[in-house]
Amino acid sequence: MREENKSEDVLKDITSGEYKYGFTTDVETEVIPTGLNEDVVRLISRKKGEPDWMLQFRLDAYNWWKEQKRPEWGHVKVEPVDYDKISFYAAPKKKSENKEVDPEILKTFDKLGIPLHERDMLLGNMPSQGSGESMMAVDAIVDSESQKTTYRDKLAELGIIFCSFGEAVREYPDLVRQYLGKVVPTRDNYYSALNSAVFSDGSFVYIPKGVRCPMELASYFRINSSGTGQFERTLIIADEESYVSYLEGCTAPMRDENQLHAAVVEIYVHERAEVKYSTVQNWYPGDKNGRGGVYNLVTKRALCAGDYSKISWTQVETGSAITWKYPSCVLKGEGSSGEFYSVAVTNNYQEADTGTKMIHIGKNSSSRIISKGISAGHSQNSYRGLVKVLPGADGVRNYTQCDSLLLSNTCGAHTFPIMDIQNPTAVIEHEATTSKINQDQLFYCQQRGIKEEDAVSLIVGGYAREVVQKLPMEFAVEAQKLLSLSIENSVG
Amino acid sequence: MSAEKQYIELYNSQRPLIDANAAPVLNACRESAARVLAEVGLQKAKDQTHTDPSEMLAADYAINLARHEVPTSREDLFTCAVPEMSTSVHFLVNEQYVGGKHRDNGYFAGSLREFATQYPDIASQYYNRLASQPTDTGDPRSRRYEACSFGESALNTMLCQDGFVLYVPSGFEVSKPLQLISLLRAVDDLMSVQRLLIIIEDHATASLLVCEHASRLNDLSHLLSLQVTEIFVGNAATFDFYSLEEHHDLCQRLGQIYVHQKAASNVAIGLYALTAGQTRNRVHVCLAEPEASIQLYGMATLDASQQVDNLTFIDHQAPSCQSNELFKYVLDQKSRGSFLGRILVRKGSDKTDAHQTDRNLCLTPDTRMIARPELEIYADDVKCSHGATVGQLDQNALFYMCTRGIPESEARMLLMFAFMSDVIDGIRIEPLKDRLRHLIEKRFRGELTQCKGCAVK
Repeated sequence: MREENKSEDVLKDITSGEYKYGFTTDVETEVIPTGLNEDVVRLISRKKGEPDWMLQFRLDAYNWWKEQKRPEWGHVKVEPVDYDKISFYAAPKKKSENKEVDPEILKTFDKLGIPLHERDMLLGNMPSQGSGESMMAVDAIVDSESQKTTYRDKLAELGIIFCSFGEAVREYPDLVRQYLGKVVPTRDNYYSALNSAVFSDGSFVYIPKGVRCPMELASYFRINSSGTGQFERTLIIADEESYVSYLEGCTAPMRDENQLHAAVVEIYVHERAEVKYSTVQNWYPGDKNGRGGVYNLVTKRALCAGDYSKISWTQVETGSAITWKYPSCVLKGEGSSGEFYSVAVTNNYQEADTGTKMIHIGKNSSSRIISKGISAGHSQNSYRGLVKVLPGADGVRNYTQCDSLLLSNTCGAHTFPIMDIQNPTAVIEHEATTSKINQDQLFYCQQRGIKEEDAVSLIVGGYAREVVQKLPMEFAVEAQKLLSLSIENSVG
Repeated sequence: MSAEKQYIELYNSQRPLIDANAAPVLNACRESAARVLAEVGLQKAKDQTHTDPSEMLAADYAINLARHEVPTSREDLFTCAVPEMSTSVHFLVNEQYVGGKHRDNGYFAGSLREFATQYPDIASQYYNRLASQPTDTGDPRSRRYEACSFGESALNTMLCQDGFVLYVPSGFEVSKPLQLISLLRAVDDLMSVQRLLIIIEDHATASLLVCEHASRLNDLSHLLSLQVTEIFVGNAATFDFYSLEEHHDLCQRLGQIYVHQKAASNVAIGLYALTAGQTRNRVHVCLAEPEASIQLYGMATLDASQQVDNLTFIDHQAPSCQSNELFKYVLDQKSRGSFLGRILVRKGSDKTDAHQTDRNLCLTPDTRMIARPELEIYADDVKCSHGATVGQLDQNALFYMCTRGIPESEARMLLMFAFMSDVIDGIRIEPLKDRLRHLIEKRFRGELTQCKGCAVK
């Protein structure tokens, strides 16, 4: 029954269209002058009231970054970013000293369709007991600042820490210091170094030993101000035998400029712990002629440090002018496992170069990669992946499947996998196919009275299903809708 | 001094000597090649293969520019390599054509120098047409592939003096397979600058087997073979090209094969490395006109510290073309292998059917395999797929055979042999197929030091 409703929603949505989240919110925003230099790094650190070690961390990253050249190996055309024209810190001003969130921002989240009880939460009301709706704790981040983190107290009862990164630095400095930069070192790459230097906020999650987080944790990112970039930092630590499912969503207003989003996500997974990280990425993709849109240049990595630990990445990528990201798994623990499920949709002039890395270090570690690319319009969609098995990793198992679907004759679909195998006991499989929509299927649907566009939507839905299924319920519905919207008018 | 500089200096100082011992058509291409080499240099391709050409070519090799006679009589050197296969045999010692039965009625098979002198019009029409410039893929995002190994081709063009030519005019069918035995032989370190030019005109048919051998006159001399092969296949023509490599561990090979196919042409290429020192093959196939098809096979059985890289690039430029690639490696001891296969389907190349498979067996912990099967597609009505696996022998199958009384070593052999069989099945010359099966079996049994029928001394 639920399935049917979902399909109906999809069909209804397909008749409307365009980017729905392109509005701006009119709030008073504090923006620091544009440009990037050491003083700006110090200013950001001062604004956040950070301790000295944090400032040193930033400066170290900044000094390394300024020596580096922009990487160019991606199958994307990124215009050089003029860092002198970007403001690296923007935050909506709080109306008063009390904890109230600006009503405009509340309206924004209302428009973004974040479920009602969450809005209640932002106002400080508890959802009615037994309402049957699932609970989700949200960290809402606008531009550079976290606005509010919900359910904090309830989670704290279990020892779970879920707060903005800035608060974590102030309240749990030891934890942050212990793990920050351990998975993604400051000098990892150009964009992670930039992020390490200027990151402003993000989410911090700590799940203590043996605790199963009772609700989904979610971060919702929104770029609101113009002329800014967003550099958020997320750090998730899952202690022994714990479990957490974490969601991430993002949107931005429609603007002619290319806004920069360079985030870093670090996940540290201890023995027998499990982390599930889901993303529905819907940054503004630019208009039909490829003007504007967000540059999404993100470093995401999880370290399965403990034995039998598990990490699962699920991503639905529909937005951004440029997507350049590879959520990776370093499988260090014995028997650890990494999963990567991805649907990347590109339309108009969008370009996506995305995939994953599976680095097998631990014995009997296993990984699974399912990547589905859908390209339409004039877009370019690439899968790039690395499966590396180090000499000591006996009994490694990997399965990779990457399929591409082409919806127009002006788009491109590419796969660039690398398998680097240094242990003979590894069993590595890779499969990839590229094709357009099966004409027989399309014909069959149309013959049964389903319109061509709806038929395409159905077939694409089926094609992406394997990945969308892995999303938590709240996101799966949204992802389905997004998929249909993104490919609208792209048939033929 | 960087590797390319020493060769450019050599070229500048020895230009009269080089020209005097070659043909005008060859000489005409040297100047521009030298410029390309100076510009591009000899660099490691940015593609994670094991071979670094700049390192390979940095050593101080002797090059036989004065064309000193190699003291050999070919009857002393060779007997038939593939028995039961009645072939027309031709011989190259290093890069020098030393004879064979050539110019049978109606086609030319023989020395490049001779061909370029006798038929300068045809030679200049084809020579160095494919190897001289990097392909423009039409997309700036693909820039990382540009130029990478054109330095090596330019180096070859700059110094090339002789080699082998097969020219089959329109409509001619060469019924017997041709066999080219290419032998590396030197007392000192030597680089052989070898060139093959193959022109199969419209509706013509031919097949060529190249046996790569190397004499081991002592345990000190290193041999490097720098090969460029240009293959032109005309409308509805058919051509089979097989390369059987049996080099020893002091040999290095940098091979570049360029193929240009016209409408409805059909080409099979097989690269079989039974033993190798350090080999890197680059195959560049351009399917320029509709309905052309290519079968590309590759195989390597490696042990000790042997190393084979195969880089293939199939460029689908026209609609309704087919390509099928199959590469298999068996890696033993400390050997290393890599496969980088790239398929490009350009805009408008609808109805393309492109498949690529790479399967590898790693037998010991010290082996290393890198596989990169890549697809780059700019057309929508296509069927493309690639698959790659790295693994070990099926333990269940092994166990089953052991329970049936087959000794484990024999069972392993059987499985390895079965693993390789479909690469051999692609060969379109029956006697060669049988011969290769025999050689592979011997190779797995460790009996193969050299191809026995072909008594290389």
